[in-house]
Amino acid sequence: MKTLKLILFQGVCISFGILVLVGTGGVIDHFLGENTITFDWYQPMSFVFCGFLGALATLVLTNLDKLTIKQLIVRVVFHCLMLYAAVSFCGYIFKWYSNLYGFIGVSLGFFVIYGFVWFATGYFTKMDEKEINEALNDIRDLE
Amino acid sequence: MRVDFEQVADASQECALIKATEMTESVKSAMDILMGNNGCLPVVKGGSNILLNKTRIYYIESVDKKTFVYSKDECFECKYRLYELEEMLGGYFARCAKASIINLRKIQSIASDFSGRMEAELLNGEKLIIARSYVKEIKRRLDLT
Repeated sequence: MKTLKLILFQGVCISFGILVLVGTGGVIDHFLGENTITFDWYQPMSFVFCGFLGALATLVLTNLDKLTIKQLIVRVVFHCLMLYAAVSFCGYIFKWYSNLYGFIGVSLGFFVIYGFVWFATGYFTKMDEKEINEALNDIRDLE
Repeated sequence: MRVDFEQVADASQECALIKATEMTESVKSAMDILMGNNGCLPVVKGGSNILLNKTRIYYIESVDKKTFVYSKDECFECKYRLYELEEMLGGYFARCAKASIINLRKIQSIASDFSGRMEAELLNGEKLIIARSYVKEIKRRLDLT
């Protein structure tokens, strides 16, 4: 149940990330006056499909507690590559790009979002760390 | 919180009144101390049963269905399961991983890594991992949420 909830949550997050990426592309495209981005009927559903396919990669990020930093980095790199493979695969079958430049654009967008998510996670964890350390100062026993 | 002390003539007049907006962990902890519920935990060491004062406990770990209680430099075995101990000890004893409970009062500092996992360094220099899923509960125990 916990794993299912995790996959659902991650699926929603990834789908949203793709929507933000495509939406931003659409806005830029519009303001550049090109208006070349159009959607086929299956495209919105392809974002959802890709989100849930990518969410399966999250399974390699469970049970991290006993790992060393090196093992943790290996897992994260593996996760990143699996997710990238899922996005590239969906991009190919759902025709998110039509040429090499499109593929590079999707790849760049993916790595920017992936990096941003880890950066945001790290930032909020640091905030928690600071807050908890301050609270611990008030209750710590004297040894 | 403001703390007042008033001297009374005899023991029958002694009482403590805590006025707070809500029942936080700090308030519960203060009430435990005032009511003398500081408590001891029955543990076993070298075949002898002894009572270990709660304040000496650093952390508790479950290994192969056995529960071990760690103080600054000693290890004891305990008959209770982790979920029972969590309930019995309450206050600043919080679950920090599936198989361990940590005494928040014995943490020197915590440090996080990029994955959101935290590591607590105890006052005796030992280090314990705090799993991401338990950070929220620890913050609650510290009245941070």
